[in-house]
Amino acid sequence: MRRADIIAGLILTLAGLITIFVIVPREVGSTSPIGIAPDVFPLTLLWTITALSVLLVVLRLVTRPSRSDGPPLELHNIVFIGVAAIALAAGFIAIATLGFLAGGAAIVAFTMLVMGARRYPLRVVLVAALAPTAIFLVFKHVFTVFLP
Amino acid sequence: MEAILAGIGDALTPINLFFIAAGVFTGILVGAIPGLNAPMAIAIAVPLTYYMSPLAGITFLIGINKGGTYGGSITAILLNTPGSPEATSTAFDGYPLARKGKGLKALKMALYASVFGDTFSDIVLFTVAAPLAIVALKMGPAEMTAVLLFSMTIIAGLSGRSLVRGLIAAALGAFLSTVGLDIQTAEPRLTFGFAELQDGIPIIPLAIGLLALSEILIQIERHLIAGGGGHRSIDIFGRSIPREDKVVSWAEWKTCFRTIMRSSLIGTGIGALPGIGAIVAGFLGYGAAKRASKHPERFGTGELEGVAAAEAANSAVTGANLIPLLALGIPGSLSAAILIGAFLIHGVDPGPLIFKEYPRLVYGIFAAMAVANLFNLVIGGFGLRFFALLVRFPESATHPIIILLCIAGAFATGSSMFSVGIMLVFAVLGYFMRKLDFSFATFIIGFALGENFEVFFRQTVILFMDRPMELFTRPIVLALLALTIWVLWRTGHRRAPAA
Repeated sequence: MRRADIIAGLILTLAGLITIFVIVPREVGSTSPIGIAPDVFPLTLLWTITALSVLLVVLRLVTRPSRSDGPPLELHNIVFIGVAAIALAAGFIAIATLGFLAGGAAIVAFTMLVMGARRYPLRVVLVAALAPTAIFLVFKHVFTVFLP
Repeated sequence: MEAILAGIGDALTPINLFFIAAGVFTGILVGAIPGLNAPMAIAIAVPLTYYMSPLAGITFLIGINKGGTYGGSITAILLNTPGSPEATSTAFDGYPLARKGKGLKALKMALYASVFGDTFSDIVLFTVAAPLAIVALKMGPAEMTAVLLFSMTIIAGLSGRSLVRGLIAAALGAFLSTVGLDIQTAEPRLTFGFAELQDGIPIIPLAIGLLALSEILIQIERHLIAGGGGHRSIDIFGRSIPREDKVVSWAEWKTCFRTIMRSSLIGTGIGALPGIGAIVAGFLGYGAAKRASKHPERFGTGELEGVAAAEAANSAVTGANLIPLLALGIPGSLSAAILIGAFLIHGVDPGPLIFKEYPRLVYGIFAAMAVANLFNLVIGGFGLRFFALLVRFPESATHPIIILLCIAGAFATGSSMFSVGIMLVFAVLGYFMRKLDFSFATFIIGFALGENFEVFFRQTVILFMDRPMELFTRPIVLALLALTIWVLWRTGHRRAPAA
């Protein structure tokens, strides 16, 4: 975890400083006619997060790396989450444009195929058709939620 | 007394009984399917409670929690893969028992111990929460700020492997709770022009993303790396298995009773403290039983007492976890943090005032919890054959359905795709948090506590701005600050290598 903590700590420190000096002044008011200003509490937390992130980096830098310390995030993890994020975004767009039934069927079929259900095409078709329909109908008739 | 009787009456209406039973059934079902657990199911189910009465909605979720705690033991015993993390210690002796052909006996003992521990813990909740709430009502903003600071520190220190990472997660969660209109000036904060964010980031899509969808992503990744494959369960119903290996005899129950009592006490104590949770309780209960046993060497090889100890302890956390939630408004666990969302949906602010403002609802919940324990015993007992079959369900079929349920649940929160977008963002964030060992549970609890923390913090600043030294003349504030420093020192010192 040593290297990951150092990288995470540095990213959090940088993000904390950007939020403190760039985002908060633009997005949060710093004056209030009554009580304390709206930015006091968020800034208190942001300074805490930044200070703790620096502490995390310092603590890891003074600790010797051990042999068992493997990187928690390897290239294949980054590739996986990158592809997953794109797939989730595509699923989001599919549901927003095609609706829950068609978009949901596409998400189910894609996930099943990725998870190795290629050998069972009938199962893929059945689950992809039935699961979104069942969820759509239950939400509509039991909970009166009209999915898109 | 009137409120108590009215609450009990409410809990016993047919529709509420139906929702309690549905919750328990869903909980066991979810717990029995490998890879799914109760907090995930609760997060997905919270938006559905919009359309129920407050009592039905909350007891439905509590039913899921209770059923899920037992359900996790089914996969632990039959597959040696805990259905929920707290059932890890159940697998130590449960799986060896199943391999010896005594899986059904182990499952039944797990059920009895789980229901006993849960009931014991509920009784403590019923008797302790209201008096504690009376004490909490006498506290001012300064004391409540100190209570929240202490709770967040203890949760950050105990729920992960690193105190610093835990504190960062808690502070980050609290920071994100500041998004939305300012509580005093009604000025938008960090909304980036999105009108949807003026009410703040909704906790339910956030919890669904962090808890359920990110876990599914991790499991899909693991599935891809491991190459998939089905689960191979042990047959526990075979005709060749003698009857005495399928039932828990009176003598066995008597032998285990002392262990179950001890574990129930341990689990209740652990559950009442915020942040420690059922996993630790299960291990402590198991360890205590092993130390007290005349034959400690048998533990780990298929000792029925081991199953009873682990299950009674981890289930006893469920009721006690609601003590800090109802008495102080502080969630003792992840499930309790999500329950805050359910309470808020129905316009109920959990905390000491709940006993004053909604006594009928509180006593209704208590009565429903007692009924849920009974349902857990009945549904768990009669449905064993069905639930045991579920452990063979392929992940390639369950996971896509869970993804769809996550999307539908997030959509139901605000009837907009914006909530779904928030859920997806937090799913990706949750993936990184899990990989980098930043406790997502601490993050969610920090988020849930953030708003109250800010309210009390600002009130304290306004009250004591001119005379800050007066804060140090208040004994409760001083005691809690001292405890916070002590917790920081102890956890930091104990975990020096991991910081």
